[in-house]
Amino acid sequence: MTEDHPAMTFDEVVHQRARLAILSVLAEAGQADFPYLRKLLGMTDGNLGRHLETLAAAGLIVISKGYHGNRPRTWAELTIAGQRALDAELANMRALIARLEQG
Amino acid sequence: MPGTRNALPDQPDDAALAAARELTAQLSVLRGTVRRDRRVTSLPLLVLGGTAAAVMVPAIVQPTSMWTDGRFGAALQSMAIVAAFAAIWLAERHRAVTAGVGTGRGFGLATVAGLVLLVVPGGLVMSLIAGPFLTFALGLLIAGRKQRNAFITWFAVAVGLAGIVNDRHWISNRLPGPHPWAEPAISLALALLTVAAGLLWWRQENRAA
Repeated sequence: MTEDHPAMTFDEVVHQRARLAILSVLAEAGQADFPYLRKLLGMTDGNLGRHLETLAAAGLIVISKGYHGNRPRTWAELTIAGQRALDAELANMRALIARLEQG
Repeated sequence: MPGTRNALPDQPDDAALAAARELTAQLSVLRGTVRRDRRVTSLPLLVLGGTAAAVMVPAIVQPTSMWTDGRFGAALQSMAIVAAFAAIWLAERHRAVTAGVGTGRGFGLATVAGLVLLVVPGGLVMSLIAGPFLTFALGLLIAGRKQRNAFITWFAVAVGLAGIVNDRHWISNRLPGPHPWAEPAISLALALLTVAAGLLWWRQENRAA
């Protein structure tokens, strides 16, 4: 039985540049609001919103809405499943790099 | 992080390797930027170390005063450290509201744990026996674990253990001759070590971003 190539074990939802970046930021931040993510990642409102919805639908993040004064705010927070998925993705990435470096 | 293409599309090995390296480097920079924005390691170390140093100095200047000596002094120092945890928690909450990043949860729990140690009789007895570094270590350990911050977690264990051992005079009793200032001086050195670690992390967080 042959071992799967690391590239074959990437999660389709997580293994996307923008979503991987969102998960990485949330893993470090605990939680972040929509404008912070948009500014840091240099994404448009629509693009960021779609990626957040995809991650939330997969149960990797939780989106909550609230107010600060009269200003509506949207917060994203990593779930335990999201943290596990990110850890697995980064481990796969390291395995892929190691494998490619070995030739 | 512009672009929404797949991180590693089908490509030759050299291109895939370059893409994987580039992606991991970009993620590393992103994480570094968030750490700098949150001052995730430096802020707690600077506030806690500064507070601990401030309450240890009077114990060296007046080692036999009722405010600094014995268990009453230890209780006052523990209260100051709980106040420092509360200050970090409030600072993180404020940053979450103004900058839109982070939570104060780890330090909120640390504050509650510190208060429990001071209020519950069993906890109070433990903190009077072990000294203020018990509150310091427990709170920092909780915050470090909650925030998945390995440095804070290990720093809490190492400095906390050293502080507790010192508070029981296991270090100062081994010094030749009577030195009433030795135990508070070692505590002050641990507090200053915490401040120094905080300053180093401040630089590190700036560089990583």
